[in-house]
Amino acid sequence: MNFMCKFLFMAASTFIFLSLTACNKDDKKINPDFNQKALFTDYGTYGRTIYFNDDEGNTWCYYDILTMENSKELKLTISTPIKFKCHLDKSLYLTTEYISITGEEKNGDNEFNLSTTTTESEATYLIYPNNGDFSESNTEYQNAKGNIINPNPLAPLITFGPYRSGNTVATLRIAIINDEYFSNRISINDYWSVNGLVNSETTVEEEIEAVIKIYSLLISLLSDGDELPVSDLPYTLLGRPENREELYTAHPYQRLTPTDEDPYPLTQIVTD
Amino acid sequence: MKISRFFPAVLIPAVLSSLIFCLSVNVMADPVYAEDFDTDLPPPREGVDTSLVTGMWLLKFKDVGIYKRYDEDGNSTKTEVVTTGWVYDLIEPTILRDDNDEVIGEDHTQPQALSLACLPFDKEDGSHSQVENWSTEYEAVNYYYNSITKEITDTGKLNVNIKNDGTLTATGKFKQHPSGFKGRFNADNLISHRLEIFGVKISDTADFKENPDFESTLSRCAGAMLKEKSEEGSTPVISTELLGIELSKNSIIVSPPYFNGYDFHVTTKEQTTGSDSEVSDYLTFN
Repeated sequence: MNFMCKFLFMAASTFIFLSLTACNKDDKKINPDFNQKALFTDYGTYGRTIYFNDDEGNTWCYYDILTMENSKELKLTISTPIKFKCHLDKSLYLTTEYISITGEEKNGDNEFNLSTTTTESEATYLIYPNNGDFSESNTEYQNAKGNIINPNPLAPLITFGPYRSGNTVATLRIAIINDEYFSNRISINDYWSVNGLVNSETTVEEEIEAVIKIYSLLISLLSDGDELPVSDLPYTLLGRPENREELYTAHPYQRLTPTDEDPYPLTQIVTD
Repeated sequence: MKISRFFPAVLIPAVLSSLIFCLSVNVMADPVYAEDFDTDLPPPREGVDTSLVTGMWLLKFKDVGIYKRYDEDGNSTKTEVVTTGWVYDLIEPTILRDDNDEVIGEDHTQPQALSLACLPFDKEDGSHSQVENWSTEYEAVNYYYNSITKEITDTGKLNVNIKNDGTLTATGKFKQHPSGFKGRFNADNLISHRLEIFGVKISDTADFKENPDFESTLSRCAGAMLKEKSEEGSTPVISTELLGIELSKNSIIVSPPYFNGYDFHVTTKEQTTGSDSEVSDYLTFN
């Protein structure tokens, strides 16, 4: 009898302990959007090329750089698109947006979901010299720097849109496929599309895209002529393919070695 | 003997009545400074149309917010911020426009949601869902949107209830929102807060600039609050802050904000080299 009582007491204690532990675990469930668990720690500067086809069937390419030096923030950089193939024969516009990481979550063994937001409107906009030559003797680059246009023609392609309102987070998914890194882009649009209509999905986006359309028309007016370091800029409408993943998984990130003078070393990105 | 009989029967009620009268006069007449913002509001202003919710309201709020700051080693520091304040706020009618977008009138039967723009945590809660077709009560849900996963995450809600006697109550509970995100590490982030609001209607006109009921320097919602900030392990810090009244970097409060009945007054001074100019902000009912 005494043994029975002890057994029941122990069983009841174990049950209560397990129940409390389960409750406690539930209470401390990690919010994937806001947490301090640093999961992706292979910090560095990564570059890749992204190709897309416009509605007239022309192929375009732009450079895309991810800079992550800690688990607090990251930088996203893109270049103006170049017709057919990425190259550095001419200087390019580069724009960089500073993004805050709010939380991380691991999805399986090979995917990191980084929740991000923009706390302040901080972006830099510069001319990247042809062939990575920053010297005074590079006249093409010096001329391009002298003719830089405002507003930033690339702004809509980084995080412009609802993401800018501060009322959103956006998930940057870094995936490991065959030991190489890939990620999505957190902008709502992927590329310029000459004739394509934007495939709107929410009312907020429709409103923002209307702004982008006006903005793009302004840019097209500003870019009239041959003052830009790149020609044939398709600044009319912005587009989004049906399968965005195809754009991002076509080319993996390559680890780059930036310097103070060249923090976004496009010349190190090996193109097809 | 006559005096002893007279004393309990007449004198005590008389003294008590006088005391009650004095107290009630004090409540009505004494200015309410930030230290006393937990005092009850005066009643709805006499003469306001309590059948309509649109107009100007005097709100009293209390908010208890929890902030957390993490370092890279996972250590966290909790800070509790308790604010108690009084603010003027509006419930605006729907503006009616013609086909050319010209204003043709106001519809007071379709009120807008209560604006909380002057409350201390409003910007950190992000935006809330559209509030439509309400007359005496509504629920506004705050949320954020993930533009990649297309997911909407609710972060809290405010329930507002208005009685036909010209009083208002509202309660809200909120969680962390990207609008209030300061940084993943070494930054105080608002994790949660609870809000209670009481209000009385003080004008039928939902306008600060053109309102026949009062004279004012205020052009938008405004007021003041007492803020008690308690970081664990540290002595609480108590301060008085203005709400909805922008102070320049060099400005200080020289005459603390107070409410007197429905009126408000504060004097600030901008300390610039060569001149110390005082500025009074007020709202005084006619």
